[in-house]
Amino acid sequence: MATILIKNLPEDLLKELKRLKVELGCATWAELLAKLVESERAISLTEEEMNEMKSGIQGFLKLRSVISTAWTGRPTVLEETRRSRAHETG
Amino acid sequence: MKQVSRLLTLDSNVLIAALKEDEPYSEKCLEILRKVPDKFILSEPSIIYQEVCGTLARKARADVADEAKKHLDLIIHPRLLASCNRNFCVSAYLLCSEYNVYAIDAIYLKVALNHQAILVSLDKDFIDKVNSKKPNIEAYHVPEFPY
Repeated sequence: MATILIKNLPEDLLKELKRLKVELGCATWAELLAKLVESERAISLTEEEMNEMKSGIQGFLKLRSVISTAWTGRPTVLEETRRSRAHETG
Repeated sequence: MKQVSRLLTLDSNVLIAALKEDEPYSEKCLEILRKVPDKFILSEPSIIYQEVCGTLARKARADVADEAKKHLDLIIHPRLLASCNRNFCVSAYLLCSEYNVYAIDAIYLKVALNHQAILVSLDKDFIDKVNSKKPNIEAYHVPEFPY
């Protein structure tokens, strides 16, 4: 296993890295680096941001009843969106 | 310990179908949306506002579309909303040729490729075309979404 020494790390960045190390449950700095590389495909949000998103999803899905009453049968969603994107039909 | 969520690019048709009960796969679309944000965080192009809210305004009412817009503001993190400006569109249009997909489909594909997100659509034809080119992202037709 290799060892790296990082010089001139700004205090703010070190503080942020320490916060992430705790939040992401990493026992070592190597684990944190591995998670950050992996996180190119993932994202970690604050609890407040997560709660906002949850509330957004709940509110959005509450529209299900009014939409389902106003729009029944055909066109289906796929037909409607394809039409709006001017896809060829048939 | 904080959980890390994967990025997911949902075609607008998935969000709309989750709201229309008699739609094929509506329940599955609902199930996928309910996994946001605990398992997945959305990464979307800004055109999703026009597609979702425009469709709801046309098929339901303008005030319902306004309501949906407010919720989309909360659901999509600003950092993960790709602005469909000139630069973005210029970077996306070649995908139409590379993947043989339609112009707007290419916009969703571009966002997914840029963020290494999982791409999900109700349009099987679109997903089949994407997967036929073996991209380095996962792409699923709604009923095949495995998570």
